[in-house]
Amino acid sequence: MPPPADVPDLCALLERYERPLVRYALSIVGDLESARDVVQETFIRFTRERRPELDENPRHLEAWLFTVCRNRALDHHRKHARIIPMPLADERVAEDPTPAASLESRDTAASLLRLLETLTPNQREVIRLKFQNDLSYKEIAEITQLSVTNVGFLLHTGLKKLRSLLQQSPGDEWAAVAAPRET
Amino acid sequence: MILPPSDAASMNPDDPKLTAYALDELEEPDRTEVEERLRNDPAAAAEVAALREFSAQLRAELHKENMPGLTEDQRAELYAAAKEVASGLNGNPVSAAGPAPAEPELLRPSLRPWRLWFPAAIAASLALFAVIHPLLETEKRQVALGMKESAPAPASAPDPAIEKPAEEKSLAEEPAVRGEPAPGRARALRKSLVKADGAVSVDVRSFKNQAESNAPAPAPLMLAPAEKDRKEVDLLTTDLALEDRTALRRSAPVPPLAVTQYWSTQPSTIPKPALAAPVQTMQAAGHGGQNEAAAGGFVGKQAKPTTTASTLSGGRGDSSGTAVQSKAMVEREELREGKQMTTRKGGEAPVQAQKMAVAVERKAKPSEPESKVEKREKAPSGAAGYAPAGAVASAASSTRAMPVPMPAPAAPMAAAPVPAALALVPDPAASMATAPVASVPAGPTAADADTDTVLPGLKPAAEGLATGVAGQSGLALDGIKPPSDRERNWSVGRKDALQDLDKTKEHFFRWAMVPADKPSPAENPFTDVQSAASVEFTVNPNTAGYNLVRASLQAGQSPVRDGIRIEEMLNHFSYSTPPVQTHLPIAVALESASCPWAPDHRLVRIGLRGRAVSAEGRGSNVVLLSDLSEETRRNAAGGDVLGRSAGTKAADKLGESLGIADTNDAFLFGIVKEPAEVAQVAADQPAVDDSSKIEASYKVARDNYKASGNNRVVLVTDGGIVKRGLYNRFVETAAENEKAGIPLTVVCVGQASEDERLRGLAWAGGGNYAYFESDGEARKALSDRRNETLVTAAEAVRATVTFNPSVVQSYRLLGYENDADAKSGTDQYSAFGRNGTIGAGQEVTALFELVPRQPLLATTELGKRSLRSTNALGGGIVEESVERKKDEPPKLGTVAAAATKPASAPASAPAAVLFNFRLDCATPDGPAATFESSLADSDKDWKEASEDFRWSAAVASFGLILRDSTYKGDATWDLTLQIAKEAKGQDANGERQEFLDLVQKAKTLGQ
Repeated sequence: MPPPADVPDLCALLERYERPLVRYALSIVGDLESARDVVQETFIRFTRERRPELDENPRHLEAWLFTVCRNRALDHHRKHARIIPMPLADERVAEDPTPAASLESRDTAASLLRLLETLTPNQREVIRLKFQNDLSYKEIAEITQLSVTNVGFLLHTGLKKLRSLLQQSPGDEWAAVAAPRET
Repeated sequence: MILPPSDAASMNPDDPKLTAYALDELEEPDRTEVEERLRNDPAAAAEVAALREFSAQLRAELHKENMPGLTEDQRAELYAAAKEVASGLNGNPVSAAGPAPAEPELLRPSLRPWRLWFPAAIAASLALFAVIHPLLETEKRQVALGMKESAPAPASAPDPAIEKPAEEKSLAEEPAVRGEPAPGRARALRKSLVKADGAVSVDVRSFKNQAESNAPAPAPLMLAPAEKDRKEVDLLTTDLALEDRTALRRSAPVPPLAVTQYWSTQPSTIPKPALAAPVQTMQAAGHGGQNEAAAGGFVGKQAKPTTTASTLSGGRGDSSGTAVQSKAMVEREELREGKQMTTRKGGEAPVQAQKMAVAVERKAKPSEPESKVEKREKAPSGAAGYAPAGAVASAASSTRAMPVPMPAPAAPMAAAPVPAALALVPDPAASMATAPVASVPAGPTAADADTDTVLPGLKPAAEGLATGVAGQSGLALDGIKPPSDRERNWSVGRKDALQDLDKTKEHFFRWAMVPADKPSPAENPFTDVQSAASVEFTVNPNTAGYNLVRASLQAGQSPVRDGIRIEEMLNHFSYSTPPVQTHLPIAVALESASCPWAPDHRLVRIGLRGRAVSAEGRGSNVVLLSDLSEETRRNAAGGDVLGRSAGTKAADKLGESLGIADTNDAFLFGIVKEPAEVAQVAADQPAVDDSSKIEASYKVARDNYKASGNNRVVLVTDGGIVKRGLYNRFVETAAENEKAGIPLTVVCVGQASEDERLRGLAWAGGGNYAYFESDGEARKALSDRRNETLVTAAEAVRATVTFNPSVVQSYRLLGYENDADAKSGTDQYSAFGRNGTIGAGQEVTALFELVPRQPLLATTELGKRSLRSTNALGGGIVEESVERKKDEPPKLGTVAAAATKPASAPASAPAAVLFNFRLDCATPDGPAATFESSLADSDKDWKEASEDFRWSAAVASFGLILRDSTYKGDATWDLTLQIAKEAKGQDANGERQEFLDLVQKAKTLGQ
């Protein structure tokens, strides 16, 4: 149904953030349906908690949306790992194919996404937030509840790792960028 | 961002500051500092440039990633929510937290015409999804199903993040605000909505989510302005008619009720016409009712309870006119009870129940002549308790005018599956009494008690008793051959009884796809025999529970409670149930003795053993679909087994995605003995992505289908398919193919995080589910037990145990608790893993703990304990009847079998039948069959019981301690060890010793 005229701000918001949020949630929860639900909850919460400061500052709003989305997604995700707490993802670097893998497109991005999977969850999340959603260190810190320094460090090491991996098994266009320049 | 100062001399290229600078994230003064250094350090500058370029590329690539959006329905709901909030609901205190936004002012004018009802409607709808969505996984089941017409939602466990309480309360005031009498909130709203004329611009179709809070009604009504005629809309009808997947997903489908009518008694064997009496009539609502209903509904494969059950019993009994008998019994019941079960909406029953009722009725109609009276048997959690079923049953019952006092209702919902339904039967004891007597069959020579682990019992008992296995001569399943003495216990019905099973599956797999969060399953409490003398459950043939426990203990962790499934732990071991000699599908062994951890209680062991059918003879067509990640394969105990199958193309395919194994792999895996048994997989399967690999594997299986052979797809996975979003697709495919005769067996290896869903998948696929810590383990176990994995001895095995109220006070089924959703009484996942398929040679054990009824209950310790346990059900229904056994007429004659044991509990009374046992199952290539027998109690102490019994007791007590069960009684590690050591027996394959080690380890870990 066409967006109703009397909720323009929500429409705009949806327009802008719906898809990125779903993508982000998907990277945390793993399946699309849940991700959608999470995002929907996020927006519902938004509609019900119209705080002035959110309305004023779009950046704040964005960070708020991501934060809420992340929290909901993590809650949801936690609830589904109830059986044996086998040593899981966080400790291991090379994990099983994580949700992102299912999103792979058939082009070269696929290889990159696969490489992303080799990062730790924190690195991965921070990289997504930074490069996929163009958030700043501060915003990322706010969303993930990490310190800004921590965020910087994660990005740094994550990027470093990606570059080294790409060097090892590069797609053509990546090899060049991945390799450190030699002066 | 301020970073710690770096070395002033030169920039370390590995400095995070560089990265931050490259990403323009540095602020003053760091920024200038870095810039300065870069000027002096070309290497660093180059690094920054490279970083910048890399990040640009990265950004570009990541932005290309797929971005799915919300569904239309979801968006519509959001708009509705926004509107509702925005409008401020003029005058209605419905607005969510926070100050009313300014927008309502603007919106008000446009909303004016609808002012009265629109806000309420929206509010209601908002409440709906406000309740639903936030709760989502958490409360999905209860919420979805709950449609309480009564007071405003007790919104179970509201998400604190969302301010529902305020919402709810304000909504609750709605009727009052508008001056509507509010018998039930929903009704009020509904009425108000009905009055409204004018369309709602919101797409209410998406509001099918039935909140257990309020206003379930408005949604469907709002949907169709055309429906605004005054007559009450059958919400349920409307709801059900809307086959929207989202709605279904959220509102939990309406699985049919289980309606098991009565015993299908065989005139020749154990006529127990009156036994129908104790079968519970699900009465009155109440939470207890709900839970039971779940049980009733269950039976994984037994499908549509209503239809199926009746059909089945009808089918099965047909050959002996049971249908007629049943009908007669029904009528008798009706007269006695004076109640008719109608499936009309009812009072306080949750809407879900209503839905169920409707569904049931609907489904019942076509095939149920007797559907007027719906009896629902409660099955203990063992059964597939799905929530809706549970709900329905209770609902349905509650809708009947059921004044019958419900002892159960008070029972906490968490008490779950065990039915607490009331039996309206006025005189269960009497019936029971007559039953046993009646059941002294003409006939069957008690001498049949040859094999036998079982207690000596009465004749009828002896007959089917311990090993009701079958007769000397093969049973002619076409029913032509007159049954022998043994076979008397078996009755064979029509094969088409199985058809109804499919329909249940449809419901199941639809919501199998939903990742639902369910609360921790509760154990079965002691159920008072007065309230529910009979218990029905689908046997759980899985063994994963034991492996899960073993895995955690070996890793030094305490097992997660949910993974401790006692029934599965019991199944893991081999026992010595004498195998079936003939074509009868299952061998049954019944035994009772005292309970080691509760000396005043009795423990009953029911051992089942599938007929041993060799896989070889039948030809095999097994496709192995492997989904093991690198990680799992690396960690595999046996080394990289699959990877080592060098030279096979499959090995390459078995990367991180699904791979259809080559014959060699399946061979190596131990699934099959000969490579030739595995369907050849075309090397160039056009399977580019995972889901088409699933299709491809099934296609291969279909292409190579061997009639009357073993056709199967075996999925070996570590949960990857779930993580990659293939789960739903797989469930659908599996269910379809299962209908086509290619079941799916799921073997979970390594990580158990997706245990529940994989169980569900196995259920949907009609196969069993096993878990192994590593693929090496899997290989070993599977090759040892390949027959069990590949060949089905019996399907849809459902056990019904009816206890004798004059002997048994209350009972409890150990394990089988993963079916209960404590809150809503249902859990669709419980169905999963419980399709009751018993493999060839597979052994399944079920244990019941009984509190025997004894004289002078009130004054003995036992009596007091029994009182306590009964009272725990919240009813305290049982009044102490001090009837002494010996005053009662002898029930089942005298013990005729050899090895007589002293009479049961009451001093000198003759042995009384402890329970009647009935097993319904379907044979894979034959008609449905029913086995009936009973067991008389003995006074045996557990130390005198058979090895199987003692071993089962040891395993059970281990499980109870691990779970820290409230029912563990006096169980301790040492007791467990003691019992186990003595019962270890031959232990040919070392599994019992392993168990002993495990107990030792658990004890050390201080669990």
